[in-house]
Amino acid sequence: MFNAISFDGILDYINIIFLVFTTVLFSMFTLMGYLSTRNSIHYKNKNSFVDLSKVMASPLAPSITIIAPAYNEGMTIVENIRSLLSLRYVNYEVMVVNDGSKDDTLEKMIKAYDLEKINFKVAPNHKSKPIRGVYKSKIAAFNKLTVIDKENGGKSDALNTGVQLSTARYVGCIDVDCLLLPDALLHVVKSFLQRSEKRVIAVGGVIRVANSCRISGGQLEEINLPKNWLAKFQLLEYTRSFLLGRMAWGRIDSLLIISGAFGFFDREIANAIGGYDTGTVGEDMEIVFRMRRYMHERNLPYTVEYIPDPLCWTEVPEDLNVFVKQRDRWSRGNIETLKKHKDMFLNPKLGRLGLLSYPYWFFYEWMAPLLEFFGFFSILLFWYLEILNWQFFLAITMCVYTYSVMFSLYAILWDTLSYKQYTKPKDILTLVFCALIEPVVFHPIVVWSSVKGNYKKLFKVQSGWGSMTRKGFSKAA
Amino acid sequence: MNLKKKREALREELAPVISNFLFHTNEDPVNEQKEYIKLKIAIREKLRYPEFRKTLGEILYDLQKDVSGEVRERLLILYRELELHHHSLERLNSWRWEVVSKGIRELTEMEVEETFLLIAKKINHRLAVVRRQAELATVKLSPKGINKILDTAKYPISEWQQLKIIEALGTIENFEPPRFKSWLLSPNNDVVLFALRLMRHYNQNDAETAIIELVKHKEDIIKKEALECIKYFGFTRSLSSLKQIFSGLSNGVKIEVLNVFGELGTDADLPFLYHIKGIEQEYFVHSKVLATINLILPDSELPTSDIEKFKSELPKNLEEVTVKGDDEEIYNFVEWSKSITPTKETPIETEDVTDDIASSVSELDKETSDTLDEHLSLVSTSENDNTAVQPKSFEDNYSNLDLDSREKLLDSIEDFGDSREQEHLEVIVEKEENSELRFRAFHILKRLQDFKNRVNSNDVEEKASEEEESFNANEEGFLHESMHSIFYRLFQKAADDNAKKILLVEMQPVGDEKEIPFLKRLLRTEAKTLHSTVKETLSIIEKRLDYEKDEPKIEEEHSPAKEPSANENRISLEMFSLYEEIGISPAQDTLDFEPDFELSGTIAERIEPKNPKDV
Repeated sequence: MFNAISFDGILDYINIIFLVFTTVLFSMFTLMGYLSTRNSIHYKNKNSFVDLSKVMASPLAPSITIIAPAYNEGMTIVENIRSLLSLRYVNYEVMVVNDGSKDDTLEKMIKAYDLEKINFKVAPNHKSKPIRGVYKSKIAAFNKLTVIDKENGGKSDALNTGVQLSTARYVGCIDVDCLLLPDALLHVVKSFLQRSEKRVIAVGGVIRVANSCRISGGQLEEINLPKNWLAKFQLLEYTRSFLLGRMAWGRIDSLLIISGAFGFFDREIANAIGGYDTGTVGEDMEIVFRMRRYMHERNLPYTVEYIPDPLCWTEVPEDLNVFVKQRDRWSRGNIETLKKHKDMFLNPKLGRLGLLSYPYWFFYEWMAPLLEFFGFFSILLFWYLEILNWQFFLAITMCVYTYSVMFSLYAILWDTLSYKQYTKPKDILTLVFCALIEPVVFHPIVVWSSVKGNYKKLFKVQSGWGSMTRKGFSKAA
Repeated sequence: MNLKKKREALREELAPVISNFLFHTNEDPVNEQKEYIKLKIAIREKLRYPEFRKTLGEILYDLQKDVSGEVRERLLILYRELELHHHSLERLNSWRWEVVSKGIRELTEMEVEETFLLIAKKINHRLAVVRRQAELATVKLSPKGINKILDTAKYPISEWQQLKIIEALGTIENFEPPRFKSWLLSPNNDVVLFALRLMRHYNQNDAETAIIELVKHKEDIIKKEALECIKYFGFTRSLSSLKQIFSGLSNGVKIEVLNVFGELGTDADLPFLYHIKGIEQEYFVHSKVLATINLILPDSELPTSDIEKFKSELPKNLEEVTVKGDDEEIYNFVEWSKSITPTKETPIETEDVTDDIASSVSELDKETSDTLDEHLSLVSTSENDNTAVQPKSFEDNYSNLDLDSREKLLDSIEDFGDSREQEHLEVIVEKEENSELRFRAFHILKRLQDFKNRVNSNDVEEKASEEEESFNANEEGFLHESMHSIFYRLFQKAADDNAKKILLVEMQPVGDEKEIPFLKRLLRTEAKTLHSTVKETLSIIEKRLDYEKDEPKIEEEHSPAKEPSANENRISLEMFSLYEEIGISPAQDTLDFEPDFELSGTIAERIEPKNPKDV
């Protein structure tokens, strides 16, 4: 009898925990939807009066260095650099950091852009691996290009090298395989300069899925929905995350992550904090944490800007193994960053960062997949023990399913109305279909990847970045 | 049919009509002339319908983007003749910022110049988006718009906005830019920055002195912009001034200064650069010095030939990293990591002046204490140490200092000194054997004297101009006794007589002898409506003070000696540590100094006059 009561009591507690967790999650997501909508409307109204192109040629335009680390990118590097060199901005430099590639990345660059090794005084770089050479093109048309050849040290190490060698006011850290739209830098500069009362320390933006899009000569010619289903699900996930999630965090100036594929930083601050942390695989998130803390602790007015315009397009993995490895890495990066900055948790001195952003990441980015995973096994166990309340289980499951589908549909709707990237009815219907089946098809894979990452981190299983097989934009169509 | 569809139908109907209307000329056939007049009448008749007016306005607004020249002018005239701008004007009063912003834009694009002042009022709107739009409109609507912005802007102007305004100025035909130097002294830092950028943009190089002075501004960003101007205009006269202030600048500004030297420097500046090379610890500044020297004297610091010889001359304790070029030439890159503070520990310069002073004082302490301790007799600052050593004279102490310490002392006086240091500077000029230091001391002395003269002359002018100012200072530069009252400032800020009366009533129970001269002055200067209250307050305070005087003062014997007035004992905080170290007594003719920050316990104790019995 005692045991039965005690067991019931434990079940009740578990139910309450899950109920509270889910209720807060729903509330947060609803709030996110509201905030992101407000932010998007504000952004669109504000930008309707701006003619970016006129400012492009201004002699007062600040300098930007785009740092693109490259590791075994021989297949796509030439095309990608061409795309980076064709941006519409007056004062920028493209710095490709060859991070000890084992393939012919360097050779291809040398051949395609007629590069020659130059004498270059290098600043001391405590963290970075030795530099083997600095290359510039002999052709005047490519004078914006600088190639750094260094020993392999990982993405963060390569980015740190670029940040230290740059002399520009702002540095952009991107994935070399990303395709930036011609106006991307104008939007970035605008975001950096438009604030007068606060210093903009970083600018991030939306990442769009380029799989199956037609790209020629480094230009995006036609936007298509990916043909691969895994890529389709990722597109939906990106749309939801970037257009609703990050937009909402941006609205309340609590954005804690800027995608490594498209992140721009105030070089002075990035240098002051020592650049990227080379000891984590979640360097893109970690650097924002540190930059924010740096400004916060010095009581300096600052902000992190977020651009919702579709400026950066990238290939997402189409192979399941590659995808799982990617998400596993993201999960580990998340844990490492949260652990490193654990003193931020509910720290009132850090304001919204400590009281809202960090706890959200802790509970809903790190813990939620774990809870889901254990919840699934609990259901199996309860079913086996014949104590599962089917009526309640089905009701709560339908509720969660409906809410998550509605959230995805809202993201699709907002994307279609505001940014008009996928206008064909067939594409929109496909996305709606993805939203309907995603919770049972795609989401379990994401949860599994996350659990795998947690397991590796917990049991210290050695694991690096994994590799991403690129098809290359030019061959994607 | 809903409203939206109706409006679209109307647009479709009106668009070609308006096009014909705009392209009509007097040379058209008679039939067409008649049609034109009919059309005009029809439009006028329909204008009474708000929806029609709105749609017509929108059509004209959209159309003006696609036409130019005479047709556009005709369109703009038509827009104003039909008084369609009233709808845009109404938008200006909306509570929604996007509507206001749209209204401003419509009026601007349709060149309704009469609304210039109305829009200019919004330059200081509480919402940044509206402010920005108003600023752009102001510039576009009138060639004097830029003056209006620079004159009236109270809020910051973002860099992006500045770029856009410059772009907008570029579109004005026959624009004659004003002399932007007039705004270099604006209290709004962004206006100063903008003025500097505009001067550069319009090549206005007629403010050399003012720009050079701006390098001494408290904001680093203005210093940097001023340095950009100096570099752009080639103001070589600034170099000597830059040398003087170099040591007190932040690393970021130092690098900019070195850029200026790289651009404008000559062989004559090399001694200064070598000096900086020798003392500068920060890697990036040090590297910049090397690069600058190399610019002035190519191949001296970073040679491109005879590298092997250069390498062999490098100190052996420095770890060298080399990277080979295609031509197998080796260029050097010294690993400074061991001697350099990690970048993550480099603090960002804050804009707080008190922080600067405090850090300078502590830095000064650190730098000087080691060397000075060896040479100077120190005044003990320990509370328990009652056997204070008699300080030596400044002349004696100074002569005991080595060259480095003397240099640091001069640096400190240059950075923080005021008229009180004149006496010491005279001694340095007289006794110093090193010609460079003597020259520097002389230069600083001259600067301080000039400054003092300027201040005095300003005082004289002010005295002559206003009777009120006669109360500001007596011959010694102290405040007039009527201004010693704490109520003096409050009274000046009081909005009306009622507020003043309230203050007078408040004064009655708390006022003391400091208030009496103030009240007497009020009797002479204030309006008669206040006289009765002033008299009453005066008599109450006087009565109370007489009563207190009659009271036996039991505590008086045991209380400390009368504290000297603040002015008698005040010492410049920045110089305090240094004075302590080398035993200088503070000069008595100090200017009024009121630190607006809290003193640390130790310093406060040191400044606080001690009981004579404790000494």
